[in-house]
Amino acid sequence: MKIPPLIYNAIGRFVLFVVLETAGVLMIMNNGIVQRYRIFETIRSFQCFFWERNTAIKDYTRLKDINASLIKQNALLLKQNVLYRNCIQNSIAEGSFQGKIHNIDRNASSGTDSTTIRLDSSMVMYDYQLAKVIKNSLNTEHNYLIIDKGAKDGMSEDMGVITPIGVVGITRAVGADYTYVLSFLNNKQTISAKIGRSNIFGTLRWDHKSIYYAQLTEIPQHIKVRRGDTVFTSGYSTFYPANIPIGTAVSYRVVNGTHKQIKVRLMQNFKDLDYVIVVKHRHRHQIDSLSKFQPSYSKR
Amino acid sequence: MNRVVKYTIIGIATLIIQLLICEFVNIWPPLYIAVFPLFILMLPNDFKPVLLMIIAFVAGLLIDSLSDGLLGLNATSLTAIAFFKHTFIKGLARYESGSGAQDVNSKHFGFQKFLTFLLLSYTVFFICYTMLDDFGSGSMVFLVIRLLVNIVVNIIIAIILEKLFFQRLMQ
Repeated sequence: MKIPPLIYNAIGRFVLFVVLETAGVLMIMNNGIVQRYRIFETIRSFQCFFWERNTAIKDYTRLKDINASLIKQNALLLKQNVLYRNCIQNSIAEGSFQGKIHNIDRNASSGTDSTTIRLDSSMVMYDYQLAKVIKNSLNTEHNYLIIDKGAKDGMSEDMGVITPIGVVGITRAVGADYTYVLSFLNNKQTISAKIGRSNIFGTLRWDHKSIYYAQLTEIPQHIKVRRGDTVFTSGYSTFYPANIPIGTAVSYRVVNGTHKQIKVRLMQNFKDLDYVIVVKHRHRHQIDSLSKFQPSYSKR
Repeated sequence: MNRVVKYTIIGIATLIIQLLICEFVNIWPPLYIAVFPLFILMLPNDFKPVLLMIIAFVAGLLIDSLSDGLLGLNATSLTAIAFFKHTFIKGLARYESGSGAQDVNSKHFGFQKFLTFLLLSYTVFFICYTMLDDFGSGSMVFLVIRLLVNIVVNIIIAIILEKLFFQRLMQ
C-alpha cells in the first residue's frame, strides 16, 4: 500500500521536530545543572510510575501461581506440623524428647517437596498430596467434591481429605484422573473429634442446616465446655491425622440427661474450597484388617 | 535581489539585533525580548516546514552560544514555533490561490488574525522557553506571570516591528 505524500510529509516533519527538540533538551541538560537535575527527576518519576504499574500488573497475573505455591507451602507446613506434634507426643511418652526432635529436623530438612518428605518411618503415619477442587456441591444433603487427582496420582478409596483448617471428606470413587470425594457436608459422614486438649472425643457430624455448623455429640456430661473451645480431629481413625482443628464450640445442650451435644462452627468455609490435601494412612490396611479380626474362644 | 540572499541578510540582521538585545537590554531578568521568532514567523509560507525547522534550530543554537544563555533553550523554542507555524496559518486563514497567499503579515492576513497568529506562536515559544528555563524550580504562579508578561510584551514589540520594518522587508 502506498502512503499518501501528505501523511508521509507530516510524519517526516514530526520526526524531525522530535529529533530537534530532543537534541535541544539534551543540550539544555548538559549545560544547565538545575535543568539536568529537574529533568532527570521528572523522567525518574515517570519511570517509577510505569514500574509501579508494571509490577502491579505482573503481580496480578502471577496471583494464581503465588496462590498455588502458598497452598503447597501450607501443605508442607501442615505435614511438618503433624510430624512435630506426633514426635513431641511420642517423645514425651518415651522420655527422649531431644533426640527425636533432632531426628525430625535432620530428616525434614533433607526433603523440601510438599508431597514427599522423607522421615523416620516410625514417625510418619500419613502421606499428603495436594489436589485442586474441580467441583464442589453444597446444596444437597449428599454433597460431594471432585478433585483433580486420580489413580494415576496414587489416589485410592477411603483416603481422608483435609485442609489446614478443617476436614473436607473421604475419597469414595477413583477414576484415572479424578476422584469423587464424599463431602463432610453429607448425612453419611461422621468424624471422630475431640474438644480442646482434653482427649475426650465424640462424633462430629454435619447439622444438615448450614454449611457453617456441625454437631459434636456423645461428650460426657461432666466435661466442661466453653464457648470458643476448639474442636480437633481425635486421630482415632485411619482417615485423618490427629489434632487438625475443625471448628469452635458455639453452644451446647444436654441430651437425654446423659451427654452433651455441642454446636460447632466450622473453621473451613466450604464455599472457598480451592485446594485440598488428600491424606493417606500408611498402615491403614494393617489397622483395618486387625479391626476385622474376630477372636475365637474355643473351649478347652 | 535574489530571494534567498534577501532573507539571509534579514535573518542575519535580526540575529545580530537579538544578540544585542540579549547583551544590553535588561529590564527585568525574567523578561526575555525575542525578536528572532518574528523573522521565523514572517518568512513566506512557501518555505518548507522541514527547512524552516532546521533554520530555526541552527539560528537558535547561534543565539544561545553567542549570547550568555543556556545552550539549546532558544533552539528548542524556535523549532517549536517553526513546527506549529503552518498549522496555525492553516487554521486561521483560508487563502485563495494567486492572491499573494505566501506572505505572512498583517496586511494580507488581516490584523485580527495576524494578532491571533502571533499570540498562538509566542505562547508556544514562551511555554517552551519558560518551562525549560524554570524547569521544576520556582512556583507555578511565578511561572504563569512570567509567561504572560513575556507573551504580552513580545507581541507588542512584534506588532511594532512588523509595521515598521518586516512588512516591507519581507515582501
